[in-house]
Amino acid sequence: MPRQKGKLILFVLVIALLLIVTLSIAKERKALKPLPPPPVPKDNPVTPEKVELGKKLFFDRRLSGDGTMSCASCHIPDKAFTDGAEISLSYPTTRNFRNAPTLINVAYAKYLFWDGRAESLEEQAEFPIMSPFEMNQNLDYLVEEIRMVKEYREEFKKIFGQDVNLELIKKAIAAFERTLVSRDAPIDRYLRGDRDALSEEAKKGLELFQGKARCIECHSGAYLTDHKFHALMVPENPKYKEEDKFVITRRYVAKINKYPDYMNIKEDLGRYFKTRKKEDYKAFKTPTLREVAKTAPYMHNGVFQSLDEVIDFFNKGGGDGNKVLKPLNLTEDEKKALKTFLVEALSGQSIHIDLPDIP
Amino acid sequence: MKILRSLIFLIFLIFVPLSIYSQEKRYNIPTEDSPSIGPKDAPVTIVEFLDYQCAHCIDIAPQILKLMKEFDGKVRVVIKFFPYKYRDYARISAEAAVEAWKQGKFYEMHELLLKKSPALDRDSLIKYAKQLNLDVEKFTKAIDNNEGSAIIERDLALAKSLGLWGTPVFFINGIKIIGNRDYEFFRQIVIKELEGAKAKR
Repeated sequence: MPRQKGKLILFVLVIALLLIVTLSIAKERKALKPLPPPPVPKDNPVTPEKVELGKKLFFDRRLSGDGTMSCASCHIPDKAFTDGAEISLSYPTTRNFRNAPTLINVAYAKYLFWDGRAESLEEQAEFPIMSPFEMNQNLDYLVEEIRMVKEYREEFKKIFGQDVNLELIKKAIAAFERTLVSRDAPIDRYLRGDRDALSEEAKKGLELFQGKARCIECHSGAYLTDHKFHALMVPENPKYKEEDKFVITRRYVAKINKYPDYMNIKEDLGRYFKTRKKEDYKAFKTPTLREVAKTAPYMHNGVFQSLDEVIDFFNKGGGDGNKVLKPLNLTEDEKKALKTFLVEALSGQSIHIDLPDIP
Repeated sequence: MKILRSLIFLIFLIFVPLSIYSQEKRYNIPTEDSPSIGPKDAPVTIVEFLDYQCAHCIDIAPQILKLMKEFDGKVRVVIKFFPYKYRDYARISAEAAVEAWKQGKFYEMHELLLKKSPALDRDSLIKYAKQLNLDVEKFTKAIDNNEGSAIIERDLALAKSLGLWGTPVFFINGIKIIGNRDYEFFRQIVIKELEGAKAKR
């Protein structure tokens, strides 16, 4: 009997320990952290020459089928690397169907695109180039266009020791994008111990962010995201949901994702297109909140024009039928403080880009 | 104390939105010696950097004309040439527009080029010059010898100095708008600018 009792005590102790560890990990995950140096994949080290090449490609209109678009068309440096539009700008005569996310701090993202269909910047780069409603370029044709340019040929040889190919084009663009880091935001200074980095109002907002407003449940860590997907049931954008060009794009996306009833699709199903998991139905990636003051309009379809509208959406408990959010009952003063935190604390130093000489 | 706090909050509420709007960076774009449409003293000036072979410029052209009609006499459009060097007819069609401007028929040629694009090869341009009763011999010589070069190169240098990399780009009373936006987007800016001009008077 004493032996059995000893075993039981040991078992309880182990369980308790596991519980403590699990809880502390969970707590750790839900903390805000200052921005560390950006992660760099081993097979694509960042060098100044590669970044410069990537910058040229980023602004080069050869990347689009008819020379109208470059990556910079929808990720405009002085618009915080967004285009400031509800629905991202499109290839001529077509319509995009989602909002262009900022590229600032994108080096920290584990998933790219609102539906997370890419898991590295290298993987991400080819999607908009070949998308008919974004840059509409044929990837094989693009490689030949780039290869035809002597300056590009020489740079690829010098940087990669190889001739131009698609993988290297993607690596160069990704290397440039990894340099778009907004350093020294007030929240970083505050988390490193500078108690004066935030105003009293912003501190009140931070408290709400971590407490009553429950933002931290999803917007945590250094990148202020959980790198997950949630179905908040954000309403469809009424301006576009019935528009012909928009409907074409929505059907097209459903069709290439082999969604059987693509002709009758009325909503953007988000991550579900990729995974077909029930929990991903209309789920979208948790975006970073860094630089959020500069990246309106908000949500995957730009349906909210201001942070006030976003805060109101969360305060009322999200969209109809969602099972993720509950009403927050924030007072007007609390909403104001929360907004002050978002605006004041999360904007880092501006990124200045000198336009490259495109060969 | 409470009244003072309320007053400060009220001032904050009134001035923050205004200051955000006025904080929008305004560029000073030189408009002299460039072709324009609309009255010179119009309270709203839209400077457009365009390329006659750019599909986005073609797409948006009717909206710009619509703006000029809706705000009749209040909007002036100034054209800056930004032909993309890898398009076959972007440069020669800019030359055609410059020569038509010199011959006093810029608006007519501008409209025709936007309407006929991408049929902008040399023969087509000469055909358009005939259609508009231009001095065709002079016109042909001008486009063959790049006589509009000084204007076009000046505009290209200006675009580069402004950090522009594509077309169309608009500066509405100096506020930069990159790419195609819907009509309402432009309309709202024009309305605000007209209100601003009214308030200044």
